[in-house]
Amino acid sequence: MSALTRLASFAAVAGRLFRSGRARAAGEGGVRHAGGGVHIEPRYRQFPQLTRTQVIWGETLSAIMWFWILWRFWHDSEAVLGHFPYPDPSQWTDEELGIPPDDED
Amino acid sequence: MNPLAHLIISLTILTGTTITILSSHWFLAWMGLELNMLAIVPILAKNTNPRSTEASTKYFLIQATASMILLMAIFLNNLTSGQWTINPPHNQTLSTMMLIALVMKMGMAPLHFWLPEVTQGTPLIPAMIVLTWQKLAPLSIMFQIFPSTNTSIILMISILSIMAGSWGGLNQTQLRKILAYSSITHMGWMMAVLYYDPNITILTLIIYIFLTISTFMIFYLNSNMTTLSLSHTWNKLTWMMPMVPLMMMSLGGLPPLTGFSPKWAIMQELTKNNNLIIPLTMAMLTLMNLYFYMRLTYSISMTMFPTSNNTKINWQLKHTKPMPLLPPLMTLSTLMLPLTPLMLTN
Amino acid sequence: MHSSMILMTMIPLLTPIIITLIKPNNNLLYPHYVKLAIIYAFTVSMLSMTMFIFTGQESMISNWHWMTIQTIELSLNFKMDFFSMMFTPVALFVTWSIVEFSMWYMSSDPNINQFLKYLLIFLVTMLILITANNLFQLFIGWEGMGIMSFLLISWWHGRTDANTAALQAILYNRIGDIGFILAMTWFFLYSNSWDFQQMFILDRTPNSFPLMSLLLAATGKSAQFGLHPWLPSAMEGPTPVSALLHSSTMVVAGVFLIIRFHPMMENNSLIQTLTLSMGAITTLFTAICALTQNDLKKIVAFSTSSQLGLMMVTIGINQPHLAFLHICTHAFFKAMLFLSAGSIIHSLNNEQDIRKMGGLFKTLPFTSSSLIIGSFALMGMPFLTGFYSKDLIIETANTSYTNAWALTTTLVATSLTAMYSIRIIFFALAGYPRFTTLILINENNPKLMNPINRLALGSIFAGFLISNCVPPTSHPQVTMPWHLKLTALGVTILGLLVATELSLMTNSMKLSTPLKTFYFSNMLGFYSATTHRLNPHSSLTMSQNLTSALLDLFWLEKSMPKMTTQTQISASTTSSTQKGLIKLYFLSFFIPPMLALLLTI
Repeated sequence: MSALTRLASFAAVAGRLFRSGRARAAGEGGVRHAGGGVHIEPRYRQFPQLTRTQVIWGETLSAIMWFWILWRFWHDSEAVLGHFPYPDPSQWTDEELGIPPDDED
Repeated sequence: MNPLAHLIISLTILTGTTITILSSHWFLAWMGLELNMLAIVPILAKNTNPRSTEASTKYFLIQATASMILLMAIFLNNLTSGQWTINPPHNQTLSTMMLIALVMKMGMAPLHFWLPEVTQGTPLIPAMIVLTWQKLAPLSIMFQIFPSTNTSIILMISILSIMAGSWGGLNQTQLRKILAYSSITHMGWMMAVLYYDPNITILTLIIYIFLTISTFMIFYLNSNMTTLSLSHTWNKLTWMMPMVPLMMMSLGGLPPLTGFSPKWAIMQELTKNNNLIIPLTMAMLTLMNLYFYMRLTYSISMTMFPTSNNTKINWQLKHTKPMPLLPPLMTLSTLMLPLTPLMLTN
Repeated sequence: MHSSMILMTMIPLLTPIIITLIKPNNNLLYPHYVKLAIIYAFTVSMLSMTMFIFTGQESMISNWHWMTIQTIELSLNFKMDFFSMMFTPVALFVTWSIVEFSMWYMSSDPNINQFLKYLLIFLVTMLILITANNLFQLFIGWEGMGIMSFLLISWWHGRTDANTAALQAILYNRIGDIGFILAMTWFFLYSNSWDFQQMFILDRTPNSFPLMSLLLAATGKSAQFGLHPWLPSAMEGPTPVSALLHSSTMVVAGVFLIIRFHPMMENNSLIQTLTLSMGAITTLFTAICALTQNDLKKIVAFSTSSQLGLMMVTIGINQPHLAFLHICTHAFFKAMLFLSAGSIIHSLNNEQDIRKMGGLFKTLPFTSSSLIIGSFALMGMPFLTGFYSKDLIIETANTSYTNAWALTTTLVATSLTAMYSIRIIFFALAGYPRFTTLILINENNPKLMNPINRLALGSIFAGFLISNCVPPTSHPQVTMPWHLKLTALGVTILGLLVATELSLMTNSMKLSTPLKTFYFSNMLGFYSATTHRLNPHSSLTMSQNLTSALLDLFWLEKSMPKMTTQTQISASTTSSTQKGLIKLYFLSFFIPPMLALLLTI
C-alpha cells in the first residue's frame, strides 16, 4: 500500500509534466504574444523574470567552455607550454656540440 | 486709293521690274528702275499719315539718288565704250559706281540706314514688297555686271551688311524693323557668293523671298507690329504656335529646315574657293539673327505673357483675311531642304 | 564533381533573390526561404569541403568561356582550393546564424524581406569574391560588396548618422577601389590576362606598382590604418549587418585579396614590410581606440579592426595560411559577439552605452555566457577558437626574424585586446545595474538563442576543427624557448590583470580631468577629426573658390557669356541707333562711295 502512495506522488509529478506540456501547447497555438517565444512582462524596479531554460543554458554554455578548456589542457597541454624542451646550449658539453678540445692541434 | 489707280500702280511696279530684268539695254534697265520706284512711292504712302509720307519721301530720295549715280555711270560707260549693251564695264571705277548705286538701292551696308525706317513707316504689305520684290531689279543688274566689280569691295559690303543686319536686329522690338534688318543680313549673304557662283545667289534670293513672304503673312493675319502683340498668338491663332518656331528657325538657318540650304551652299562655295575666315565670320554673325528670331519664337509660342485673368480663349468669326497661299508657302519655307541638290544643279 | 557541388551551393542562394524579381509581393515566409536556402547551401558546401580535405586535393579550377575582347579572354572560372572550400561553409554557417538572428532583431521592420535579400546578396558577392579565379570576377564580388554594404549600413536611412556612415564607407572603399582598378589595369597591360595562374606565372617578381595598388585596395576594404574610420562608423547600421560585415564578409575581403596574391608578394620585401608595418599600426591604433570607447558595438568594431591588423601582420611575415585561419576562426566569435551585443542592446531598449548597463550577468544569463565565451575566444584563451590562430600567429611572429618594432607593437595590441574585452565584461555584465528602471529584458526567443548557441559552440570548437584541417606543411611548426611560447598568453593575462585592476581602482578614485592621452584614445587619435575636417575643408574651400570665382564667375560667366553680351549690346546699340534724318544719311552715304572709288582708281 505504501508503494501505492509512493506511486501517487509519481503520478502527481507526471501530471505536472503533462500540465506544463499542455500549457506550453496552448501558449504556442492559441494565445498570441508579441515577438514570439516566451512572453515576459515588462517590469518596473524589479528583478526581471527569468525562465529556467535561459539560466540553465547560460550555465551549460559556460560549463562546456570550461570543460573543453580543461579537458584539452589535460590532453594537450603542450600547445600552451611548448611541444618540445628547447635545447639550452650552455648545458651541453663541447663534445656533444662537436667543438674540439682547446688543446687539439 | 482709287482702285483703278491702285491697279495701274501695281501693274507699273510689276512692269518696271520686269523691264529691268528683261532688258539688255542700259537705258531701258534704268528706265525700269525709275518706273518701279515712282510706282512704289504712292503704295508706300497709302496710309496718309506722316510716318508713311516720311517713309515714302525717304525712299524716293534715296532711290532717286541711287538712280542718278547709276545713270551717270551708264553715261560714262557709254562715253568710254560707246555702247548701251548691258555688259560688265571694263572700267573699274564705273563698275564700282554702279555697284555703289545698286547697293544703295538694295539697302545694303554701309548704305542701309534708310531701309529699316522705310519699312517701319509703311503698312505690312508695302513693307513686304519693299523687302522682296524691290530687290529683284537691282539684283538682276548686279547679276549681269558682277564679273568686273572689285571682289574685295563686294565681300566687304557683304560682311558689313551681315554685321549691320545682325546687330541692328538685336536692338529691335518692332517686327517690320526686325525683318528689315534680317533682309540686310540676307542680302549680305547673297552678295558674298555672287562672285563665286551667281546661281546660289538666285537660290538664296528665292528662298529668302519665300521665307519673308510667309513671315509677313503670319504677321499680317493679326496685324502684328510688335513683339508684344505677337504674345497674343496663343489666344488668337493657336494653330500657328507650333508653325512659327519652325518658320523662325528656318529664317535663322537652322539645319533641317529650308533656310539652311542657301547658307550651306554659300559656305560650301566659299570654302571651296579657299575662303575660310569669311564664311566663319558670316556664320558667327548670323547666329545673332538666329538669336532674335528665337526671341520672337519665345514670345509667340514658348511663354504666356502676364495677361489679365479674364483673357480667355477668343471665340472668333471666320477670318477676314483668308490666305490660301500661306500653307504651301510655309511648307516650302520649312521643308525644302531635301530638294537642295535639285536646286543647285542648275 | 566539386564544380557541380559549388553550383549546388550557389544556385539555392540565388533562388530567393530571383524569386523577388518574379514575384515581388511581400511574402511572410520569405525570411524562412532565405534561411533555408542558406542552410541547404551550408550543408552541401560542408559535404564538398569534407571530401575536398579528406581526399587531400590541392585545387581545382572550373572554366566557362564568357567572352573574348580583342586579345583578352574573360572566362567565368571558379577556383576551388583550400581557401575557398574552407571559407564557403564558414561564411554560410555564420550567415545562417545571422539571418536567423535578424528574423528576431528586425521582426518589426516593414521591409524585413528586402533586408534579408540584401544580406543574401551581400553573402553571394562575398562568395563570388572567394571563389573567383580571375580579377574581373573578383572585382564583381568586390564592388558588389561595396554597394551592398552601402545599402545595408544606410538601412535606417531616415537617420543622418546612418547616411553619413554609409557615405563614409563607400567613399573610403572607393579610395581602395582606385587601387584595385590600377592593379587591374597594370595586369591588363603587362600580363594581358586577369587569370590568377597566368598572372602569377608571368610576373613572378613584378615591380611594386600593382602590388602597392592591391595593398591600397586591401587597405580600403579591410579598414587598415589610414582608411579605417569607416569601420567604426558602419556601426550605425543594424546589428545583423555589423555582424555580417565584420565576421565573414566585406572586411576580410581585403585580407583575402592579399592572401590570393600572396604568390606575387612573397618575393617582394618592400610589400612585405609595408604590409607588416601597416598591420602593426592598425592593430595597435585601433586597440588603443577601443580602450576608451563607451559604445558597446564600437568596441567590438574596433576589436575587429585590430584583428584585421593582426591578419595583415601575419601576411607581412609571409604566413597567408595563418592569416586565413584567423579569418575563419575570427568569423565565429566576432559574429557571436555582435549577436550578443545586439541581444543586449535590444533588451535594454536600444541602449548602446556600456556605462548604462551593468549587472547583466544576472538578468541575461545566456547572452552573458556567450559574450564571455566570445571575449575569451577573442583574447586567445587556450583551446578556444581564437587560440588556435592567434597563438600561432604570435608565436610565428616571435620566432621570425622580422622587425622588432612591428613585433612589439603587435604584442602590445594583443594585451590591449584583453583589456578592452575585460572592459566590456566588467561594465556590461558585472557590477550593479545602471540601466533604466523599466525593464524589458527578454532573451527567450529561439530565433535569438539558436544562432547565438550555434556560434558559441562554434567559438569553442571551431578553431580545433579547422586547425586540424589545415595541411600541416602550410605553416611552420615552430620550436621555441618556454618563455617565448608563453609570451602570447602572458601578455594577454597581463592585459587582463591590468584592466581588472584599473577598473577596480577607478571605482575608488576621485575623478580627475582626463589626460591628453585619454583624449587621443577616446577621440580615435583625432584621425577622423583632422582628416574628415581639415582636408575636406581646405579642398572644398579651394574647390569652391575655383568653381565659383574662377570657373563660374570668371570663366563661365565673365569671360564668355557676359563679355559676348556686352560686346553685342554695345555693338548693336552703336550700329543701329539712328536719328532718322535723311540729311545725315546722305552725308554718311557720301563717304563709302568715295572710299570705294578711291580704292578702285
